[in-house]
Amino acid sequence: MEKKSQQTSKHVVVSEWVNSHGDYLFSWAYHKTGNREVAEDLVQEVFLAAVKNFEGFKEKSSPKTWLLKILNNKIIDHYRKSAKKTVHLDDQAFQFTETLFNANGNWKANGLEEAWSNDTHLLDDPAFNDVMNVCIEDLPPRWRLAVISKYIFDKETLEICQELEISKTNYWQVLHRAKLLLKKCLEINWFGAN
Amino acid sequence: MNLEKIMNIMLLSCKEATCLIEKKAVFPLTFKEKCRLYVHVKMCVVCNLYQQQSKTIEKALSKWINTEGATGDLLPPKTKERIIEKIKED
Repeated sequence: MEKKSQQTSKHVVVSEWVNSHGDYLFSWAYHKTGNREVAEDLVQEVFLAAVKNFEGFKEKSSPKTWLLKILNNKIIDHYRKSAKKTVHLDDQAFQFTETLFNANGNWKANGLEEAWSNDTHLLDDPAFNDVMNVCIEDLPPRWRLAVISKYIFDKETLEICQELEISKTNYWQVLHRAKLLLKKCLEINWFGAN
Repeated sequence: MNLEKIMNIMLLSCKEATCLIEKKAVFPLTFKEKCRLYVHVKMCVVCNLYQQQSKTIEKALSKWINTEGATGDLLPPKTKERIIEKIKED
């Protein structure tokens, strides 16, 4: 009987969380995935996982923090799945980053080299962050996964490599190419456009 | 050793140099890599600027991760109801 009431209470608690934290989690997931349906599905998975692993929730941490941690894991899983399906995009993006350099592997000048340093309050500009959002979405999923894992969990590099199932060498090479692509995208859509 | 060989050992291309800049952010460089990168960045204005740009991009990425998105993006009430139903079924 006691077992039953405990079960009911955890269902009640998590249902309350849907109302109190659902919007926050949804807007977080939507911002990271750029897709409403995906974000809704992920949020649903989070709450179902919360019921299932309710015993893992410590009253010491806030429900919001705990739910967000589950959500971030779901987001990474989602990225991982799409990364597996889109390996061909890596090649295209790689070829594109090659065009930033000449035959000797040195930069082709584009006249925007200095533009970056002129804007010291760049990151406070909401319009810049919107462009950044577009550029992150433009990365091939596997590259996006590599750059984002670094910030989403604040984990050690080696741990990230293990999770992404890539070698150390491959990891920094992917970071390099992703950075080049982001740089180019920002130059086209921000520094060159302004 | 002729001059070209020395130059090849000492000089990185910009592609190699920027790759080392990214490696340095996550792993320690070997002594040889450190020397070669140091020399390259001292001489190459564009790679010197790249170093700063790379840091700006890092900060922008970190900011992106910690942004919760627009406040207008709400979980539709119907979806909330659906999730609560699913929780009951569980």
